[in-house]
Amino acid sequence: MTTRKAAPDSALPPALDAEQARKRADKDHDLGLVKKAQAGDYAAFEELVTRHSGKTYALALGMLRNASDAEEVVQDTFLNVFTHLSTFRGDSAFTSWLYRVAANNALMKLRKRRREPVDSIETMLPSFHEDGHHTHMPGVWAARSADKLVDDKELAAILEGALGRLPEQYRVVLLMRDVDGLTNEEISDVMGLSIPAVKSRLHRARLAVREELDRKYKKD
Amino acid sequence: MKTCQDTAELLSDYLENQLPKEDADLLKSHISDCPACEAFIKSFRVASETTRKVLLRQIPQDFNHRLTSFLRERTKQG
Repeated sequence: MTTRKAAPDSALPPALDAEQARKRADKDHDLGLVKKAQAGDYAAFEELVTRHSGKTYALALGMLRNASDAEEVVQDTFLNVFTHLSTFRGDSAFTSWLYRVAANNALMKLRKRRREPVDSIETMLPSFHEDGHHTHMPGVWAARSADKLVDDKELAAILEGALGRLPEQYRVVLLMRDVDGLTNEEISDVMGLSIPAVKSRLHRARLAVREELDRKYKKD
Repeated sequence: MKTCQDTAELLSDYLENQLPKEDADLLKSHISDCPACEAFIKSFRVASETTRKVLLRQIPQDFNHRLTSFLRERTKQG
């Protein structure tokens, strides 16, 4: 296996370097707030809530595709965090712990629902000619920016449908990485998966969502 | 020599600078000669970015206020 982590920070491209520095500062700020909250400072707990409620909601919404279920999951998650705050030792990022609790709560809620039909991921992946070439060019949507596409309700509905069709073990990894911004290593820790398994699920989930958009968006 | 299928399989690693240089160079060489792959990569990035934006946009405006009020009540604060 190729390891590239030995490279010193100074060798990283500037954008990656700045991103890592920002993540490190965020993580340190969270840990400072957790320590204050553990000492009884409720305002520090509320700051943690305010800093992370949005992305926790987005994770729950992506998992459940129902606004009131997602809100309930976020409420339960922060109550769980408040109750068990004294057990958090700071060995990992606060957000890893938070999103683990949120994902477990969302999965429990999903399992209480009537089973929804879920596709095999294989049926959602792109196909290629026998010689390995693409069968077609992506649709015109692919030339537009995410900022433009996000305003389109048809696209949002297709995206939500795509997330719903993803098997949950793929969906949760995609949401943690692309919506919540956890690293592959953090997801591996949160989900108890090997890093290659995280990378494989993430990549297939991304391919599947892209493919769904390409199959269904702006086809008329 | 890489094919479009190889490129698609390695795309996440490629975009996150996780590929060994030799593989990354082979991919780059294929992409520079393949308009379908170039467009595929763009669509792959746009789909991920749009997923994030669509979900984050759906956070209700008063959500944090409702949540903090709920938590204060349930934790007997304020």
